[in-house]
Amino acid sequence: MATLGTIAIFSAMLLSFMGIGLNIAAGRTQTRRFTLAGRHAAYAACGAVFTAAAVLLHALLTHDFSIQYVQGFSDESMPLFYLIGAFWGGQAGSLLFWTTVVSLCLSACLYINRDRYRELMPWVTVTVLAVLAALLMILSFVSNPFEVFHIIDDPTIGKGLTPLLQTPKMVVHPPALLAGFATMTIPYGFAMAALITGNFSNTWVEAARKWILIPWFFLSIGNMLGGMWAYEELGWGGYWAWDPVENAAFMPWLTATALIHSLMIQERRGMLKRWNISLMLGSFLLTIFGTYITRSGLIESVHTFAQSDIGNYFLAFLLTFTAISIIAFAVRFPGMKSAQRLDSPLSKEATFIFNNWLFMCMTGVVMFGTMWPRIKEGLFGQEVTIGPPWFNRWMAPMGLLLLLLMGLGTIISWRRATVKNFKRNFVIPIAVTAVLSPTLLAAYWYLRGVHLNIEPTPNDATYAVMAVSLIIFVAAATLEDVVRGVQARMRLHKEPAITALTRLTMKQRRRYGGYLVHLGILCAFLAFSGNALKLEHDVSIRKGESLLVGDYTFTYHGLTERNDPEKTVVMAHVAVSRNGKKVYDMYPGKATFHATPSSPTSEIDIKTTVLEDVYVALVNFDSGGQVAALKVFIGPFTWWFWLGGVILTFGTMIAMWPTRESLHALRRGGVIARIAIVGMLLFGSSLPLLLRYAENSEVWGSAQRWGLTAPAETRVLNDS
Amino acid sequence: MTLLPIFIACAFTLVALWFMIAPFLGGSDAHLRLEHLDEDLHEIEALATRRSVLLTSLRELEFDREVNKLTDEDYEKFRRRYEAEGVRIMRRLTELHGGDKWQTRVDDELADKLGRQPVVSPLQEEEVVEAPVATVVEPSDEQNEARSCSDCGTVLAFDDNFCRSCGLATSIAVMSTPATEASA
Repeated sequence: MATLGTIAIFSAMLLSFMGIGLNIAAGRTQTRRFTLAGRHAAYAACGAVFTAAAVLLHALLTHDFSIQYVQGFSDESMPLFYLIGAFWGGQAGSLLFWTTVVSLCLSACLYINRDRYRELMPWVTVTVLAVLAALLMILSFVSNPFEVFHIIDDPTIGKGLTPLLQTPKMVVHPPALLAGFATMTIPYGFAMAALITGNFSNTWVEAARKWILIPWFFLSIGNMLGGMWAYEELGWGGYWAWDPVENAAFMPWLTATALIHSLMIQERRGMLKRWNISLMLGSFLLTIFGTYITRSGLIESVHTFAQSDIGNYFLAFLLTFTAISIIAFAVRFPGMKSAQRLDSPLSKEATFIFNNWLFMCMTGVVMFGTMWPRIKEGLFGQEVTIGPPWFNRWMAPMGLLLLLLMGLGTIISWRRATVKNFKRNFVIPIAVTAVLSPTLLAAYWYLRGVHLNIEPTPNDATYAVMAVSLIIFVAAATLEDVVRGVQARMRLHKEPAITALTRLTMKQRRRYGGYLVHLGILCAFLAFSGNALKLEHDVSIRKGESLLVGDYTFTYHGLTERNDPEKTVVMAHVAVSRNGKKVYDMYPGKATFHATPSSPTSEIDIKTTVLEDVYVALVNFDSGGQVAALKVFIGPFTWWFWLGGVILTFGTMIAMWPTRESLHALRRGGVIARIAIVGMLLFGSSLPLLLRYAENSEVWGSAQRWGLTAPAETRVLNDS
Repeated sequence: MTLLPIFIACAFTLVALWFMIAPFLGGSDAHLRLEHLDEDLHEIEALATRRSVLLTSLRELEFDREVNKLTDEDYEKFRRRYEAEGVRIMRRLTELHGGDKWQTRVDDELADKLGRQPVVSPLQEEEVVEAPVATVVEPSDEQNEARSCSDCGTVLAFDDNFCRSCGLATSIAVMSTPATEASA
């Protein structure tokens, strides 16, 4: 089987090169013969990649430990969910997964557009096959997942998955991010095809707009799941630490978000041609850049398990595609000039342009903060650390500006805002903000904030107040726009309100899906403003003693140790009460896996409500369990970050839902394709719920669920 | 069970390989004929796609005007631009279909075919029914004269939905013609 896998990878690489040649011929001659041959060469290359992926999956599921990769990242005790997750648990497998997703997207793109974009498609295929060939070269010569042990070394047991990865979220987080990186290749292909052909009409924009939401969606899910994992596993009480690897995945998300907005302007007004092309090229190159800095060891991160020796090959990959993209852009630069000009700085177009500039500034800040320590060390030999305070100092005000533009962009007019337009569209949202903002802030403060004894710094308090006010403004502006749309439809079509809203959403999926996404972002900003009010206590506490944090009293009652063949788990018993009444018990723990005793994992206990999270981590303890070091957080509005993610997912699904025309374009063999597309969209929108179900029903990997594992030897450590 | 995806993927690869080679195995004449057909088909697809995008843009334009995000002046300007492009697309589609008189040509051929006597059995002689003959209804001169564009004066055919010259919708274009005013 390993031989078949290796042959499949090499064949895919050769077929990719053949496909590049055939598609170049097809692009230059536009003949049917080369077009068909080139298309099927791409299909064949993709098929070979699918074969390799199927072989690796088979090897994992059948515990074929003769293959080094299978032995290194799985064992026989792993349930199916984690065995599948082991596919991308290591370096080579994650690269093969990336290659598989690129192949899948290329096949889908070729099939969907087999009768469209005739001038562009050969060059799109050339570009994507070039990316595929580069990945396959790395797989073939540097990082082959099908390397086998020699017969005398053949092990009979596997090492298993890294303990830190043994949570359902971490099984989904890497493929979500990898899918985001991989799917960015297709709109990049359309941009390169536009540059190669010199066709800067809206053709490439129409195609790219359909595809760009897919990588954006996966990057959103991937970043959010990574944040959830950090929150639940790492024990520092936050979900975003401006870790370099987090930043590497965040930068293409920022540029892709900018691109989604600016493509709307080009589609409507024919403006920003050069800007959009460069943004598309940049978004793709940032995905390669992010992978390079993650896997090269250039930066230090909690993601050290992802580092490997392929950094230099990714650097070559990055430099090659950067050079080609820049040269193509420079050659075509004069021909990309837009005929249309901005009519007024007070217009929807201007708001979107400012929004784009802001996203670019944010990307620049993140890039600087990530790379400057390494650059300074390399150039001057000085070590410097740039941490969350620096990032927050820059990103917080820019985030607030972004909120303002989000609200303005929703209700301002196209071309030129007038006084009449201002009165009509802005008065209500401003009035609602003026009334609700102080009301809600005062209500929260006097009903909850005072009891928590929150004492934010003036800076944090200012940002929090501004954030809440802007959130209300944007929500009011969006709601006003929706209501106006429903009223317009009710007038025109004489429909009831619910019918009008449903039909409006179905007819304007991108707009209303986008509004839902904005609503998700607002929820995330509410969580960020709550983060400014967070309470944190690091304390050593003796058994029987209590700690007061806010209006919660935490009483430590000792430790329990549980042993089973795979791990030792120590769990602390902490009783929580409020105003003298017991609320619940919490059991933070620490687990030490016998296979990896140097990597204990923290098992945080978190109690979540709409208003705040109570978060307790067991940091350390003495051998008798008499004294324990606990980390306690009270995080207001943390839950809203996860709710924002769910709403964002739902909104993106609506925006991506195919129209009747696009489904009709799949008429040949359309039934299967339609089922596949609709099925994928339904799966994507229900992913958060599926994940929650997997966590609640899977006994693997959680301190609280380990009590269900049997047989286990349990010992109370001097419990009272 | 885990072997099945491997077999499917291998089969997919081999079939794709065959189709990659197949275009070079056939005769060049057949490919040339298909090239010409493909040219028209691809242009029709591209025009149809562009028309679909224009319709979506027009829909969004109307919506923006309804919710006061677009002034009436800007709305008219964009609407005319989109409709003019739509007219150009439909004109080109009409040419690709065989020109303006394609309906007449199809009707003539149909009439020719249907005009042949049907084969009837002796038992059914009394039940022979004359084959229906398609009649072509030409627009009367009065109908043509009555329909001219109020904007540019171009004479409109009886089945035109848009003026062929300036793109104005005929529902608006014929509203103020002398013939319609006289009959009202």
